Amino acid sequence: MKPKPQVTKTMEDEVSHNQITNFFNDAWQILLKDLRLELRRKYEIYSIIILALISNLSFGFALGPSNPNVTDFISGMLWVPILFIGMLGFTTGFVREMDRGSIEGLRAAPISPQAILAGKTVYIFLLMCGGAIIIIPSSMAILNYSFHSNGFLVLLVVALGILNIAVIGSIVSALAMYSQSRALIIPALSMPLLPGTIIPSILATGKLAVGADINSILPELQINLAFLLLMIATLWITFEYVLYD
Amino acid sequence: MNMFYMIKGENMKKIYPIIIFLVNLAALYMIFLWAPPERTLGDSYRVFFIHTPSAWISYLAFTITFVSSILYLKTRNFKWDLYASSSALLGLLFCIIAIITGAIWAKVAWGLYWNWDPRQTTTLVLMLAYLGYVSFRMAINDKEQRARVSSVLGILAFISIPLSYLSTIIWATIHPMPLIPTSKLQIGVEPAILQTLLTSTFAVTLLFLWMLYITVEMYRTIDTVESVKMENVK
Amino acid sequence: MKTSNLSKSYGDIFAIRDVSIEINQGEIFGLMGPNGAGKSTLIRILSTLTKSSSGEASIFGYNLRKDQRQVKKLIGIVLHHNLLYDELTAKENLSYYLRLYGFRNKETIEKIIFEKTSQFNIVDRVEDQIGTLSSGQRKRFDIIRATIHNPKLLLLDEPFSGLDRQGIAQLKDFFNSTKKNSTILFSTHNQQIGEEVSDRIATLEKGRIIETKTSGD
Repeated sequence: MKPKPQVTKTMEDEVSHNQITNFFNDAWQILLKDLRLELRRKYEIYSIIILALISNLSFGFALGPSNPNVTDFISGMLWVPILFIGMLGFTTGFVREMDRGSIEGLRAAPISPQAILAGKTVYIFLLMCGGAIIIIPSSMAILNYSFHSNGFLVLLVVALGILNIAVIGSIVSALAMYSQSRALIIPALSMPLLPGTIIPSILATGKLAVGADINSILPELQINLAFLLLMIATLWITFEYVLYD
Repeated sequence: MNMFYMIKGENMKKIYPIIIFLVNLAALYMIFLWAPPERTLGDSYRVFFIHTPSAWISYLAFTITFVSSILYLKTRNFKWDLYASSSALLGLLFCIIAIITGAIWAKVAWGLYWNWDPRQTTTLVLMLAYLGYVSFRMAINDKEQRARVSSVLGILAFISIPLSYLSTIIWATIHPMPLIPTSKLQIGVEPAILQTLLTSTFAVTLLFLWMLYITVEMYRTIDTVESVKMENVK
Repeated sequence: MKTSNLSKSYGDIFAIRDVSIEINQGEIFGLMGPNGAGKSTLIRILSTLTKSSSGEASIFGYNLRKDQRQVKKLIGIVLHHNLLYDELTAKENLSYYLRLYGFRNKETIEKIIFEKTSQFNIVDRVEDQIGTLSSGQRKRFDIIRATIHNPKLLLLDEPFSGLDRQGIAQLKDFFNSTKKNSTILFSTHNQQIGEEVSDRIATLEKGRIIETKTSGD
């Protein structure tokens, strides 16, 4: 048997050409890079924690320690601060890349625009989840209430709602980077896009607070799922127009 | 655009406004004089004839923005960007009219200016979408960038509106408003009222299309003047 | 690399107009001209960051409009500002970009980073955050970033500005050593450096090429 011919590995051989794994790899790299940046600039994490606690304390002062009607306010008390934390993330997503000029590095790299968007979306999603992890338990402790439904349902509703906000947030951030008043334009851009997902999330959370089961929140879940799929499909087609000329 | 094919000629440009003026005059006559007073609401129901066409136009205008946005991204012809932006600007105007007249109508028919009717709320969301779109455009300097990026916003906003509508429907079923129906909506049953509604809708649609045409021409002229100016500076 | 009648206009104003150049493999090509002559625009178009309004360009047979992804794999770019993240270390920055270009193997990445940084004598700074470095060091790391995936065509917009004398010398050496594998196109407003470094020079004025010559004549 002949020995296999020795092939010297060149740099080109090391490059992966698998489109699917490259998609996930690129999105993962961008996410990792953004998380690393976030962790090194601690003040944004502090502002999330402060925002969460201030919101909970304000509701606490407004409603009193053991308000019998607290369940009526739970969904608003949770989603308002979560949304505002999301807004913080919107400004960091793409706007920051534009401000420091590194967006050109992403534009010139041989990666799919959807991978970039996916990385940014997951980044905003994780940022908001971090916020929710602080807000929800501390709110339950400060205002002295608990959900009377299955905990997994609460998680599902919150996670799906946050994911939808993150999808909108990443595209809003990408659009906003072209405008002059980058941070100011973000609410104006996101407000018309958000009602379709924020209303169902608020409603479902409100129902879960008083012990609803999965059947009674099915319509909300369906709308949120439809929202997610529709937005992903639209962005899949249109996002390259946002990023490239 | 094919829509304006018939009014391309210089003569038609002069005749068309006269036709629109006459049709709108006829519509106004029907709205205020010809249509009989409604049984329970009396004359105050006539705001409905202004509200419904404006609401229809605000959705039509947004659809035109949506379609023009897609066409811009496909063809990169600035003509479509002019249609998208002009339509949005007029849509915002009609949307504001629809919301104000809608609030008056709601007060007349149900006793409250704002009754969280899904359609009413969705029209408000639509107005926010218009405002977001228009202010976003103003915040971008580069012409090509503005056209490209706001096209994507036009498409996304259009797609999200039905979902907002569905959400408000669910919301309304959970929180039904204590309505005080002073009349069981029987508008449309009477043929005279239906005819008036159709005529006014037709009249306002013609008016909108004409306004759209003028707005597009206006922006096109501004563009030309700007580029001539720039050329001279150079 | 080849362009024919490449133009970019903003409205009725042309940033570059009917630019036709052909650059051979292994050549160092200098773009000269005053500020606002269209050098940056040309480089941005060739690096796929800006689309041309009309005309064609191809890089190693790949059309700049149709085969963007292929072109992107083959080019490396240096712009006026660096594309590095201040909060990350130089090494993190470089390995991030290497991974975006499809490199996965950790050892390979370490090796490439070591080799490239040795060339510029800044191996000892790779663990430093970019924000803490001097502007000259940042520039060096940015040039390393642009060449980290061994691009076949290197596009540099004013690479010599912001470098001290030592940096300029290093970059010249670097140009000559990379010449074997890749083509280099750079812009400069400095006549002297331009003529010293490049094999051929094109001078741009008001978006048009007014002169092309072989340097050293």
